[in-house]
Formats: sequence, C-alpha cells, structure tokens
Amino acid sequence: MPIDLTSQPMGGTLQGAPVSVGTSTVQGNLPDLGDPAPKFLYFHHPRAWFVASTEDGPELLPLLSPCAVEPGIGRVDRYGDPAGLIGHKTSRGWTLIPEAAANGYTPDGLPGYVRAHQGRRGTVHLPAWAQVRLVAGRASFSPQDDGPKGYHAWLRSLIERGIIAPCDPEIVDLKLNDARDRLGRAAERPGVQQPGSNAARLLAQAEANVAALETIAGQEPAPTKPAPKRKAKEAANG
Amino acid sequence: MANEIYYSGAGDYTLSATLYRTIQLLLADRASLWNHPALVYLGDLAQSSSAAIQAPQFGLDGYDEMGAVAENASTSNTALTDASDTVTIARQAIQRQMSDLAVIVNSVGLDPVRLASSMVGEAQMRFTSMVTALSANFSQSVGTSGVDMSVDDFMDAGITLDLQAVGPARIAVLHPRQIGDLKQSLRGETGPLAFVPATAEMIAAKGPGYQGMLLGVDIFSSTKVATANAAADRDGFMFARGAILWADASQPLNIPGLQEASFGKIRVGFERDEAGALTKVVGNYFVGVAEGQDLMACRIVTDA
Repeated sequence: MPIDLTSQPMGGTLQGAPVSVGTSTVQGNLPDLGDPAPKFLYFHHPRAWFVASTEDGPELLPLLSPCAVEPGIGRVDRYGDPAGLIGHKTSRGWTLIPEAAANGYTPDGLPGYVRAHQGRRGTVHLPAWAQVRLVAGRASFSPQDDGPKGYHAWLRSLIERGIIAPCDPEIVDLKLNDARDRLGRAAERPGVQQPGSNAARLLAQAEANVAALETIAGQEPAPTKPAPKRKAKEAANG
Repeated sequence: MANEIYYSGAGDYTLSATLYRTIQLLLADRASLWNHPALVYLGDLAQSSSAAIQAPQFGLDGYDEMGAVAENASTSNTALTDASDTVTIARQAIQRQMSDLAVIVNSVGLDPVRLASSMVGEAQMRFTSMVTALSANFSQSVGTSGVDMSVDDFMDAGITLDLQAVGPARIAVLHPRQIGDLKQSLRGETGPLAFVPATAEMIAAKGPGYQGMLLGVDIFSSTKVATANAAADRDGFMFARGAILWADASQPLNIPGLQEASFGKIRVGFERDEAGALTKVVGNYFVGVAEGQDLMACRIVTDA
C-alpha cells in the first residue's frame, strides 16, 4: 500500500523496542527515519579505546564495534546465524560482548543492548543508550537525555566485571605518542598564532587531547605551549 | 455582465490538479559503491557448489626476506605464512504488488515493468548499506568522540595506514556530516593541502557519492554510514583495496513458464494473482560482503 508522506508524525522522542538479534523486521505507515540500520552484536578489539569526557575528567573507555548481523554481511550466513562472524572475530582476538551484559544498565530497563525503531524505509537498530527524535518531521539520532553518561557507565562496568580486559598501558603510551605527533603538526600549521583561526582551534583540540591522555597516563599535563614537532617527538620517545 | 465562464465554476470539466507525466524521484541518497575498484570482487558463485567463497592469502613476493648465510653454512626452511578470508552470499530481496486497476488508470508510467527496473537501484543501495556496515569491523581507529571531523583526523587515518605499509590507492567513505566538518576544516587550511573537488566528469565516472580527492584519497559520501558510541558519533572509514571483499551470484534458474526480467545479477520475477487482479513484482539479488585484511582499513569516528 502506498505511503502518504503528508500523514507522518512530526515531533517527539521515539521509544525503541527491545529486539533479540535473530528476529525479523516489519515495515508500515511509519515516520521516515532515513536509511535502515542492521541489527548488531558488539565486539571489542584490545587496541580499540577512546578518550571520553566524563564527570570525573578524561577517561579511556573501550571503543566498541557494532558488527552487523544480517545475512550476507561479514560472514553472517543465509539464515542470519552470526556463528561465522563470532568465530572470525574471536579467533583474531576480539571479545564478543553478550547481549545479556547490558541487562540492568540500559536507560529503559529492558534487556539486551539493541533497540529496533520502525521507520518507513526499514528498521533502524540503535544501541539502547541512543534515541531517535523527530523534530519538525525530521529524525535525528543522539545519545539519551543524560548524554553519553549512561553509555559510559556501561562501558566502565564491562571492564569492572571482567568482560573486557583493562587497557594495556602500552596502548595509552601509543595513543599519547600519536597525540603528541598531532600536536606537533598542529603547532606548525600556518596561522596558528591568529586567535579564532581554524589552525588555533585545531591546536587547542590537540592540546586538550594530549592533556587528557597525560592525565589518563598519570602524568602531569604540560604547563607550557607545545614544543616544535621534533622536540615533541623526542619527549614522547623518552 | 453575466454568464462569464470562470475556472472556479468549471468543476464538471476540469480537474483539481492534472498530473505531470514524468516520474519524479523522492529525495534519497543513491550514491552506490557497487563495482567500485577499491572493493575486491571474488567472483560469481553460480554453479560453484557453495554459497561461500574463500580467498587465500600468502606471504609471498617479499613478505619474508632472504637472510645472510655464511659461506660454509646451510640455509634452512622458512615457513610460508598464509591466511584466508571468506565471503558468504545471501539473498537480498524486495517485493511490491500493484492492482490491475492501478496499472490501467496510471498515466505517469508507474507499472510493474517500472517497478521491476527500479529494483536495480534498490539492489545497489542494499549493496552500499552492506559495505558501509563493515566500517565497525576494523580494529584501527582515529578521531575524537564528540569532536567534529578535521583535516587532522583525515591525516591521522592516512598515517595509520602508512604505518602498516598499506598501498596508496585508498578511498574514504564518510557520512555527510563528516564531509561537512571536513570541508569546514579545509576552509581554514593555508598550507599545501591538495583537495581536488569533484567535477561533473569525475562524478560521472565515479558515481554520485564522489566528493573529490584529498591527499590522494578518493572521498565518498553516504548517509548509510553507521553511528558509533550510542549515536554520539559517525563511523566512517578509510581503506585500501583488499580491505573489503564481495561476491555475488547470477541466477540461471531456467524454470519453464517463469515470468521474469533479468538485470544482470538481479532477477525480477512477476507473480500473477488473477483472482485478485494483482501483480506481484519480486526482485532477488544474492550477494555477500566481508572485511578482508584488518590492517588495510581505519575507522574514522567523529562527532555526529
């Protein structure tokens, strides 16, 4: 049946339904949420971490990979069985985050970490900590109202509960080294002395990133302006 | 004056609106990565005896190097390193149904044949969604959560691939938000950065999602790029040939009496419900995508 574009909802926050990875999806006379997004399982690679801004300051948290679970994508078979995906990932050092690991940590209190949002062009699967908002008939995706705080708390709990191994200190050193390299490049960019310029903004970002990683590494943040690139590299290499 | 003939009183012989007799397309991202040379096509699995294809990799042509051997010493065997990646194809499909009455009175060209030809585009976009869904499957990443994408993130991704000795033929697939932030960042660049914006000829050659080339990397835009970090970020990626593998299958069914149309690997079947005066149009495409060598790609995770 054709869908009349003039009769769609125009505003509000949509409630995602819990979904078990392996169930089918339906379509109907629904709001336009844009392109569909597949069901997924979270995996974590031991090298994948990101700097999160939390209430307690910068924190290194695991960067999860939502790997699609749909027939034909990434070794998921014709029935939607993710065994091939799981076997491939775990044999290469990745950790599967079980869906049950989210129980008790989701903002809606429902089990699992995948939520299905029915859209006109198909189902959009998002993490339980994300929300879909319709503003003037247009959909946007963002973390829940409390920002990414709930998601960060869950990531932290994955480490505390032993589901993800703590970050190897060597990874922090490597990230710090990369951040200092970037800071060196940012400091050499033309126009960096001009307040409000793009170069100055990128330098400030690079400085903040290095300071965050130094805090995470337990080092004192550098009190002065960055050294030229070569000196920064030497400092990073110890 | 009286008895004028006004449009407002001509309801018996005018319509409230007449129809423009050309189909207009609803706005959607139709940029496709189908058949892009950066993706490794493993082949057509028709009559191959399997729905999966395995691509072996060997450590040859310089993976190992020779070692020095003293004049009076014997050399020993060097183990051959190997690995493999597998792509499993699966059915992707779409179905529409139209009544005979809707076909009879239609004056804009919307009929089962037009629905059938549209299924090529639907297969292309499904393929593109499948490819962009793989961005999260790679272990390397750059970018800062919650911070707009900048030229530095783009350079970091390139450097990450450089450090793994990944070849120069690379493409980046980014969400339009990331493209916008990247362009904003480029505006402030005063150095010798070489951004070559897409021309009409380039778009014709490389597809509608092509945005241009930066630092020798082709940039493609797709709204299908996934979210990351609870939708705080977008999960674009940069990769070289070898990072993404795909395979498909032609459909030589040869079923007598089957009403069908073939668009290359996409087969469209027509199913009649004579009692209901309905025609069902079903498009099928058998395709699979998978990540290849992990270190040949780098996620670019930046603010959504």
